[in-house]
Amino acid sequence: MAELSPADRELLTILRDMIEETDPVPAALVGAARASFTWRTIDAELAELTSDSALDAAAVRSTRAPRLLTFTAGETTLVVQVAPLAAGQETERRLLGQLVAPRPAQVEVRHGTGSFTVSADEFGRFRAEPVPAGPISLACRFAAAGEPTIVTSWVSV
Amino acid sequence: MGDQRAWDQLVERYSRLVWAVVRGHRLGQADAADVWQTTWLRLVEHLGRLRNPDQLAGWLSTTARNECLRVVRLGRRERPDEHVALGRHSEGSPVPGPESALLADEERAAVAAAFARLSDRCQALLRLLVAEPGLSYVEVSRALGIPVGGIGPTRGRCLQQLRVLIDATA
Repeated sequence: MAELSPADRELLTILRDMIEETDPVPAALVGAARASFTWRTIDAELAELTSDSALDAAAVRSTRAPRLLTFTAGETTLVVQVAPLAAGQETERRLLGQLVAPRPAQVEVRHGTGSFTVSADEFGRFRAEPVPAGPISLACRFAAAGEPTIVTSWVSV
Repeated sequence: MGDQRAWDQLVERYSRLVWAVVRGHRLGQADAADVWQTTWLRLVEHLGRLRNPDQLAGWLSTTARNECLRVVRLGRRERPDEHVALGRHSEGSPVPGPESALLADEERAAVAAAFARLSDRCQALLRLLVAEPGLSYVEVSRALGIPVGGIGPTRGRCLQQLRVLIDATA
């Protein structure tokens, strides 16, 4: 790696000051980042996002296909279909979920401005709407005693 | 890492870096805000797993980049003219700090105008190189999707172009 010349270093310093002054991090975003700590969950098992059809090459070719998110935690898989609440509507979503292995659960939909809870039926299916577009995470609580709560990784929908 | 105050300090320390990654992608205002928020929420969920503070800058910049690519793929809510205004109106005029004196108004305007005319790739790289805390070249490489060996030459080329543009403006 070539070392920076004094002139390069000076130019980068000027650039840093310019960016600092003309394009600071918006205060509202810093506030939102601080507030995100309140979503910390200690006792839940994290379900990582293992697949997002939006990142598949095929999905780019057929953008009309619904987006599918797959989360995995141990033996449990959660598949969530994301669709606009209405055609062309970009601010609210409808989520259709399927838990595998299928079983009932209370599913808390956590989103940018709050949360609400829906029930997954005995087949592990649930439906949540309207969900504001933006980051979401789902917390699944099961009826069986001792079964840990599963919380999905945050993802923007 | 267990309390809100420690978290606020962490946000304070890494905000500029995450913002540099987000601003290095051409996102609309809503998408940029979503990527930003998702990145911090991801960090909250991973706090217990990231034991080594040295990895934090690299982890945050890579996570932010992946989320940028995700929303770009989704191609939603993109309004081409929006990104121009992002970050300018939300805070009003920044309060002049001690550093402002170092940078005369005309010089700042010339640098800003020249920077805006650079390619997206150059803007993204230079933003990341001047953001605090600094990244290693491996981390820069991951955050921008360019090979480690390409960073030095690209940096040289971008700075050269910036100089030419500043001279042309002055």
